[in-house]
This record gives sequence, structure tokens and C-alpha cells, in this order.
Amino acid sequence: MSQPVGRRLFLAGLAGGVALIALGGRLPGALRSWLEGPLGELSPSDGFHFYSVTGSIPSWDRAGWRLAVDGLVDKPLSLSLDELTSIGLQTVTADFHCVSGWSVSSVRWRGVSLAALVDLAAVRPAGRALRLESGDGAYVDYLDLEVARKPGVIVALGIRDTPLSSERGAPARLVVPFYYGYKGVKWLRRITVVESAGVGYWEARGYDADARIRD
Amino acid sequence: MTRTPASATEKALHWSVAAAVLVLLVTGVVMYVPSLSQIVGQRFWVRTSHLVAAIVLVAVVLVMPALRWGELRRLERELSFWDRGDWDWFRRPWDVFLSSYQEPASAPRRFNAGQKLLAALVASALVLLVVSGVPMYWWWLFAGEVVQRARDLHVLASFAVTALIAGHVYLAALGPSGLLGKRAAKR
Repeated sequence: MSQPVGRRLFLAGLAGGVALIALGGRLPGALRSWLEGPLGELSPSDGFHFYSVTGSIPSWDRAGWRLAVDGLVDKPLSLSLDELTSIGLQTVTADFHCVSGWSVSSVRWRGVSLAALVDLAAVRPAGRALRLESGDGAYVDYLDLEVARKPGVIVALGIRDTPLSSERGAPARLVVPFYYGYKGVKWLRRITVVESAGVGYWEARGYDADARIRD
Repeated sequence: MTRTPASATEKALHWSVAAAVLVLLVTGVVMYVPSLSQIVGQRFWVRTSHLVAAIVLVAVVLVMPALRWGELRRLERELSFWDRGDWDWFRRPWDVFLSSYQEPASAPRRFNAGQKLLAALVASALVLLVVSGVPMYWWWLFAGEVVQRARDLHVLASFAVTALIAGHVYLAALGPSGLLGKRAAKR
């Protein structure tokens, strides 16, 4: 006599998948890591995956690199790495979350407070947001000035006691610990103070404007 | 034993699902493997193609049964119901792998147990992939923890679907009793 085994298998597969995720604790992540392990770059030693929107990794000569801070400011800046460092470095430790679902725990960044940087440029009263541009000009994002001044928001120069690599955004990148990673503009070259936040690279392509990591 | 050939509706369903799944696999791999992501770039278009293929897949699975309910209901029953002879397929994996497996002649059936198993598990995995894809695509509507777990499920289901489809393609096309294998044997 025949039995509806296929239907049972279908339902068992669904139930198994849902149970694994709902009740499996760390098991699904561990299982995924175990499967990804032999596939090399899918389990990178530093935990970060590298994605590109352009198909290339920009690299900059550290000696010649400068960070511009301009727009609605009284004192436009063009800072070398040494000048940027002399503002004062701070350490920020935070989990890094990508919108595609991977995370890296307790990443230790070293960099300059974005609040200190914009204060140095003396923002005019009309300035309410920052336009942040990557060195290759391909990636632009915005932060409200109020967010930019929050503790922990830094222009990072180093990670885990080493200078940033090209993949991580050398020589400088933005770190906003309470936002998803796409807000952290890499290869940061120019910060422009503007009247209001515009539409960033991914927001123009459908992402929500609010990049907060929700609890 | 002569098998009843697949109807036009069944072929349309099979190949439209296959085409959508192929696009999903290719775009998924490009987004998933960093070096490929880097070579291809254009993450927005790859991501959009992935979403469009998923929508096409869901539309096919919803629209085709609506248009050909009776026919696809029969197909579903043929794939779902197993009898004692079906278990024989699992007892001889080596024969299946080498395509030397002969079905018991007692009960003529259109699908062997492998095809029935594939249909159930792929259907199940595709539902899980569609469901887990929602928090991954519209991440801002969900807690970070949910997005992370959805990704784990998405990756695990993708591995399962890839393995199942690889087995299916081998037995249906590349193996000695597959389409290409038979063609080569005729020469």
C-alpha cells in the first residue's frame, strides 16, 4: 500500500529547518562554519568577508594620502595621516554586522573621533549632515551630524593593533558601531559638511535610510 | 517498461523552476564567494537578479498549479506516494550511482524513489530559502539576530539544494543512464 512519504518528507524538511534555526542555539552557525571551513575564503581568519561594488580594491600611497574636510565649515582641512593621528587616537571595540547576515565579534578599531575632526573644521550653523566619499569616488554615504558626534563614531586607521589593510579600507575608513557595515565608508578621502543628508550608495538602490542594528 | 512521457505542463514547470534555480545558484554564489564578488562587482545588479529569480520561482510555483490544477495535482500525488518497491532504490546505492539499477517490474511508476525524494527535499529547501531570504533582503525590518539566523538557514539550505541538484544532474544527464550517457553509448 502506498503512503504519502513525499509530503511527510517535505513537511519534515520545513519543520527541521525551522527547528534548527529557532531552537538550535549556536548549532546552525557552527554547522555553517563547518561546511564553509574547507572552502577557504568562506571562513576568513579575520572573520571579515570582502565585497566590492566596483570590482577592484583601491589602494593609496600612505605618504601622499590626505583627508579633506570641507563644505559648510569655517576652516577647511586637508590632513595627512600624521596630522590626522595627531588629533588623538581612541580605541573602539564593537561587534561588526553586515546586512547579509555575517558578523565579527569584538572588533578593536583605532582611530580619530569624527566629532573631534568636524569640530576642528568649525562647522557652520547651517551644516547638519556629512557627505562621506570613498577615494575612488564610487561610494558615497551620509550621516546626520548628530549621529556623527555620537561616542564611538571614528575615522579608523587601524584594526586589532595593525594599520588597516586595503580590503578593510586603508588608509582610513568610517566606523559607526551601532550601524550596519555598509555605512562604514572605506578608503575615506573626503568629508563634506552639507545642509541635509542625501541619498547614499545603497539607499539609492533600495536600502532603508536607517542603518541601525535592531535588537 | 514504457514510461508515460512528461506532459507539456510538466516540462514547462520543470524547466522554468530549473532556470530560476540556476540563476539563483549562480547569483548566490557570486554574492557568497568574496573573490567572485570582487571579480564581478556590480553587487546591486547581482542582488537584484537574485531577487527577480526568486520572485519568478514563487510566481511559477503559484501560477502554474492555478492554471493546470488537475494535472499538477496528479503529478504531486505521483511524486508524493511511495510504495514498497520505492524503498528498493535506497538499498542499492552503488547500482544507482553506476546507473545499473533496474526497477522492480511489479509496480510500474513514472518516477523512481530518487526523483520522489529529490522533489520533496528540493521543494522543502526552496521554501526555506524563500522564507529565509526575506530577512536577508529586507534586513531593516528585522532584528540583527534574525538576519543572522536567516543567513545561517539560507546557507545550509543552499548547500543542501546544490548537493541534491548535483546528484539529480548526474543521474539524469551525465551518468551512464542519463541523457548524455545514453547518447555516448549509442555512438
